[in-house]
Amino acid sequence: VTAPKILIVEDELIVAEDIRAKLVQKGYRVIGIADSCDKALDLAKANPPDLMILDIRIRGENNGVETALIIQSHLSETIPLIFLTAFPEADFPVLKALDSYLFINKPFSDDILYAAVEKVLKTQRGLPS
Amino acid sequence: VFSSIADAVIVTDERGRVRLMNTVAEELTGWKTEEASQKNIEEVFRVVDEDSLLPRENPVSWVLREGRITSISYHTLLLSRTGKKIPIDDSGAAIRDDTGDLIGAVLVFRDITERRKSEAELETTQERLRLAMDAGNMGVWDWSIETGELRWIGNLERLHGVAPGGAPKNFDEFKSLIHPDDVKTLEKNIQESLANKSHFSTEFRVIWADGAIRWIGGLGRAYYNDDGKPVRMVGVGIDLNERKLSEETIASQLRQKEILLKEVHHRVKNNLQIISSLLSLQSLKSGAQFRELLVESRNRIQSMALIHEKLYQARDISRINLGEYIGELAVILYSSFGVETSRIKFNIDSDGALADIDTAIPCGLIANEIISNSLKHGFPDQRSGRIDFKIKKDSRRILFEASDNGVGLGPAIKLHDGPTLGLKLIWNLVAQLKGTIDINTNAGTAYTMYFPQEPHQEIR
Repeated sequence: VTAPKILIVEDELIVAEDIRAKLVQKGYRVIGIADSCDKALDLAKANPPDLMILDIRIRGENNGVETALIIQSHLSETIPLIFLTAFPEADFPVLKALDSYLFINKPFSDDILYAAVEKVLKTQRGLPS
Repeated sequence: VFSSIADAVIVTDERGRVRLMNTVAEELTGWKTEEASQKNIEEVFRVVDEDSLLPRENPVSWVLREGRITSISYHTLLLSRTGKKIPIDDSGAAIRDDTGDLIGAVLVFRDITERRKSEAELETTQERLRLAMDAGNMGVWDWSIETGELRWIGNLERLHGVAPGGAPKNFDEFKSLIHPDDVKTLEKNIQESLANKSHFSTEFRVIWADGAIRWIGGLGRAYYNDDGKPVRMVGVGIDLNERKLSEETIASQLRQKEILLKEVHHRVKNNLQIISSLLSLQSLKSGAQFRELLVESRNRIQSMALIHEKLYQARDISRINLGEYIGELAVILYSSFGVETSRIKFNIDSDGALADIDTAIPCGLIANEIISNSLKHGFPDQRSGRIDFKIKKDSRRILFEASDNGVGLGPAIKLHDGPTLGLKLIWNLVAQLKGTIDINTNAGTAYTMYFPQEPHQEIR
């Protein structure tokens, strides 16, 4: 069984590195860190992820939610999503366009991150693709 | 009969000499019949113009010359024999004999002082009403529900942006002045007022000829016939534009302030995330003991970040509910230390006390230390127990009480230079809040703190 591949979309590099370190520690594979929609799309096309962890307010024209939608439509598959932001969920009505996702508020604790990752990956495995 | 007539009457001969006077005429002129008899009417009945005070032609003289009835004269003052000036209406008529020869004149007049007074009062009232309508930038409307006819008085034409004389004649014409989006509400308000027989009150916009949109308020009441059917509605129209504009300005300023504050909270949380991530990355390269310290520091950061999250979501964005906050903090700490609430129960008894950010952050950090301390040291070897918080606020101070039934701090502990950073922090934070603290370690550990409170003004 290969380790699940995770793409991190976060323009705050310290935070991105922190997430990467935590995931690697638990045996996940991080396929890359993108700070914008364009970079994220390139990385996802090159190596389709099993999970994306995205900040919502990121550099560039498209925010994290839009980035997720764009990547999903390019890869024509539903990739599990975790959003990480300092804003409350209610501030992003665009989230309604998504089938499913998990939402984590910043600053987050390790346990909450790990629990979320396990939960979405488990759900994904349980669903027929 | 002659003397009982309510009007004053004087009869003269064909040369204008007084022949008869009734009592009222005697009273008004100040002449007794005996004295006035044979005197010329010009001497007994002296009249001047009310405004210019110049003598007026005596109606009797006019009648005798013209041979006709005078019309009633207005603005006439009678100068009585005693020097009183009495406002009167008068009229004169000729007296003829059977052959039609002029044989005298009859003069009828009446004291109109009372009428003048009520006229003046009416004038004053109307003047006041005009002033009030001008000052309040308002006008009166009178709508006959039966005929649909509408009448405007005062400043309504100006308020509605209609040229003078261009007031709508009926309700439909009036409706055409109103902003299309507001017609329904207006009609609904009228229907409700009529259905409930309540006062009518509405606010609507009108579109002026130049395209300007102005706010107008309407207040009024309906009148009903014997069958209870509404027949008429009368009320005022008031200029609400200034008020609406300032309301809008205040609302938009508040919105901007709220957006700004939320942005600040967001940035603070973002920055705290970066600090937390930095510490986390640091801990990867550190030994176990140092790593534990970094975890504690990250928990402290979490407790501060939670404040901003609570403030962000709160109705009053300057204050948060302390009990709710401590409760959520406990959830994070239990999870961080991997402790189940089934083993160490957590309970908060709070009266809903609100605290501003200057109080809430120290309280949060204090709670963070106490809960961490209990979870780490209070219940060794998987012992079970409980942690209790009590938060009560009165007008002067907040009671902040925390206790556990664990193994306690030990009797020899010195608070000022105690061994842990946690206790030092608690001590300093209580001092920062100018509060008092009492620690009891007889059974478990109990912290009783009081923090003085300033009266708070709500910012929304």
